[in-house]
Amino acid sequence: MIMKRYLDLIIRFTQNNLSREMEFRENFIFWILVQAFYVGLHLLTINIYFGFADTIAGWTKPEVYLLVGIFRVMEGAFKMLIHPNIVKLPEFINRGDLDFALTKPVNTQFLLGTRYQRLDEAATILGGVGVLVYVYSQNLILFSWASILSILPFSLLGLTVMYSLMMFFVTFSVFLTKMSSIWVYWEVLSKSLRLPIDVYTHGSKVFNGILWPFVIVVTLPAQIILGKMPAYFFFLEIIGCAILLWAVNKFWNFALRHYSSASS
Amino acid sequence: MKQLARNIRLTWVFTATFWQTISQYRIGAVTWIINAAVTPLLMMSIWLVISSQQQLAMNQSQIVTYFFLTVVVDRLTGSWSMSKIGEQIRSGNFSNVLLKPFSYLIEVVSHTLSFKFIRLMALTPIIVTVIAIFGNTLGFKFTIWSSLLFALAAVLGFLIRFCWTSMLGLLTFWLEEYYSIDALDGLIGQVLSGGLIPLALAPSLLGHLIIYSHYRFFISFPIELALGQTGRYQAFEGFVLGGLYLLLLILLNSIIYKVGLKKYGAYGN
Repeated sequence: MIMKRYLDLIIRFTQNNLSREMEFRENFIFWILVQAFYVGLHLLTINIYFGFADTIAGWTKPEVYLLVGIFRVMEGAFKMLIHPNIVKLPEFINRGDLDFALTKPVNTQFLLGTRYQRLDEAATILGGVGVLVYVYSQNLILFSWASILSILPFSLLGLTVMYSLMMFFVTFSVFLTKMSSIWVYWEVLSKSLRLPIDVYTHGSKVFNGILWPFVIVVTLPAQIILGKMPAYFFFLEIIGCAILLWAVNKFWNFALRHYSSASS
Repeated sequence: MKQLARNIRLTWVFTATFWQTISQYRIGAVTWIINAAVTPLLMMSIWLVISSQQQLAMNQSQIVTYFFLTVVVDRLTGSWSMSKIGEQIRSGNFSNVLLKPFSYLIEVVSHTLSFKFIRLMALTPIIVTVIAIFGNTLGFKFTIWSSLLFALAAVLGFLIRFCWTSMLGLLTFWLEEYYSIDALDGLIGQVLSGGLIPLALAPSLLGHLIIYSHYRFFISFPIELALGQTGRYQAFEGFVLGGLYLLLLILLNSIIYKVGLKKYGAYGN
């Protein structure tokens, strides 16, 4: 019964978001073109880098393509479902609108996390799928059903890590008066994840260790799929995700206990 | 002359007002700087890795200097006029601007200048620290001549960028939203301005696109002059091309504004 109610809410939110998007149809279509262009540009820059060297920090061009494909799928899903809600949270807290969410007869985290969607971001997911289809269809990466099927759970885990990292930053808005530039943290995060983390850390185990939340989003999954890391690292990925999610949840609950309502 | 003096005074007053508003959110300025520094840092890392494996047209010191300067030049030439104009048209607030007894551009210029000042201020300690610590390893030697050319190129870059982004903002008269154009412009601009790939390292076709594109003046051209990568004739050629771009963009702004205003339906209000 409760599940049906929540499902009904999600359907209504989606209908509402779709109507809103259709108010700006030109923008919607233009955005889809922008995303297609963006994928092309991303691949072009990778081609230029690999015009100078066959491998960069131990990664070949097809391997980086695979990573880009996976990341675009994750990024698209994140920007479609999670990002529009997370960026609004500081404003809700700043204006006291969180009070209204807290008093509604529905789970607050569900309401705050699902109310808004950016449906035009489907183009980003399709762009990522397109890259993956290209990589496998051209035999740039050895095809196997196991590797294809593992992309879905890895994408879900990566999404969880991205959600946890962004929630960590957003939670500070409970303590700070105004935190309007939360999108900047997403920019930093997404820019850093577009290529293997090894490229920036020069493969240093120390730096990879420090940056482990970044590593487990897409670099480690790509390494496992490519067989560059043993399969049991999948469990490390799950443990890493669980730790981050647990820690952020604790931090959020701690912050909520200190939330004194901006409107009162 | 009297009109010009009035416009300058108004610009100053609005800049001071916007400054007051923006400076309330100082943490925001720091996060913007982090964001501005991330792309150059990441690009620098990639090119450093490649240069450690392969002989490039730029050595490691020049690569570090180039990407350090992109952070500074990007702030110097930066313009926020697209979001200002686009948001006013989108929300319908442009009607209020039209009622005021001065050009809409005065508020837009002031808005951009105040943003620029606060971001440059936030960046200053970082610039000073980097030069103090890494000054000897950075690959540029500023002479009076190169400093002058650099400053001129930065001003020209700002004017071209301001006119370009204002023109894109005015397209909101037709498109009703400016986010997509902003994103597309940002993407193309990153590549053609030299923000991702320095001109010296760009493949032949891309190199030509950068040289003849107006985006070059946003980042690459001032840095080329600072690093002494451009000869006197090429520098002169660059300034002439930049001047032509500026005139063309001023003309286009004027035409698009006049045509767009007839289309304006004051949505929102």
